[in-house]
Amino acid sequence: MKRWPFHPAGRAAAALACTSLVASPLLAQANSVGIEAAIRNKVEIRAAATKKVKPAVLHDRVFLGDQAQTDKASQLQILLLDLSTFTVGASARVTIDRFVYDPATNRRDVGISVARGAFRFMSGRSVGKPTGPVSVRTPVATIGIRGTIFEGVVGEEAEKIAEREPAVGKVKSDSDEASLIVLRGPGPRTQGDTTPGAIDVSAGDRTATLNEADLAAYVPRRGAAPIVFRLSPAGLLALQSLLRTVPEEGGGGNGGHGGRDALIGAAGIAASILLGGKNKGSVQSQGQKQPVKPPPPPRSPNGRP
Amino acid sequence: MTGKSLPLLLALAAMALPGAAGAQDNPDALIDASRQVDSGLALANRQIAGNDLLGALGTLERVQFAHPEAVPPRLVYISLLCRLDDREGAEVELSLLGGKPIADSDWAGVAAACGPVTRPAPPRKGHR
Repeated sequence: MKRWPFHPAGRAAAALACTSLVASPLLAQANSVGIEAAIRNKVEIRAAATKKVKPAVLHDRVFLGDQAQTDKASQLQILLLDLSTFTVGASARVTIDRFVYDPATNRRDVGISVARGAFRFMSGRSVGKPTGPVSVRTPVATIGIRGTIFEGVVGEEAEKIAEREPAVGKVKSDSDEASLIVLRGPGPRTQGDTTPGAIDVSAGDRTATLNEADLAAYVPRRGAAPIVFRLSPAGLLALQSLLRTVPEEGGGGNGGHGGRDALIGAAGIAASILLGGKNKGSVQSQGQKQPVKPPPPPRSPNGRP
Repeated sequence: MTGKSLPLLLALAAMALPGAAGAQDNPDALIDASRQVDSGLALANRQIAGNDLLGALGTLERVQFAHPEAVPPRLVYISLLCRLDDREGAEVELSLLGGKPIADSDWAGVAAACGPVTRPAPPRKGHR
């Protein structure tokens, strides 16, 4: 298992987090940063304080430095105290290593590390939403978030999904650390009080800005620049297979392992019904912005039956 | 009343109370309300009415973890993706429904949010 150095600012931020959280009226137990809000199949939490591993339990608190580990076909949704949700997908290992939230000012500072597996982040309330930096680190990239929904996967699955994309193709990838990150929205025509989302994916000496739903960045290995493209329906489905359930799985929260096959099988259907999209995005390198031209998505006529 | 249902009832009661400002900010209440399809949908609809579209998405994700077979939460989820301008994501989610029967009233919500979109074909007779 690879170890990451603790972020230099992490210790100070952690101390701040504790201070802030102790003072929070939302907090029943000091130091907790979120709650185990939904659990599917096998999910374990390795406690930062005791180093002991125990099964995830609904309503249990997640503490700073706790590590969530999921098995195949398993998921965990963590409801953070600012009401953002962080979903840990299949075969993942995730740590919340920085969390500061002050309900009085609605300011936050969140840092999450994903060592492997799939994940999704959704910002907190769209009305009166918290402000402040949120970053997610993978072994090869750092993602800065501006009020948004995004998903990603680290490791072999990232490599598999990305290399099936025509815009990526065969590249030299590290199957342990390769990272695929996808902005899911909100898009520029979002409704309600939500604002369009955007994320900055930094890797190597470059930063790629994703500012439209389903734009993706693939970082194949350490030091490599992000490859920006529009994720295909098949790619999106493959990612969802790690994060979502399908109706065929049956009820009761115990699920099965047929979901992935059903998702992959649905890729062709999705591809055939997808409407066209548009491609916008940019890659910044050493202060210079480069236009990115992802390949056009598949198009087909669509209408009511 | 069973011990299991008590927390859920308390959570719902708290959210229904007049003047219970911030009840929808109580994480434990949000989690409890998401454990059943009906209460989860009711919570999501309240969040949508309050323009908390992302909160509603999170609620529906929790409902689907517990009840992956339930179609109505998926349809509301799909309509939310459209409202959040993730049309491609909505189409992908729609494809997952396969031959699951969809009530006209549920589909109306998707059509209203997504506009022209292909409704999945109903199951053929003799097939599940």
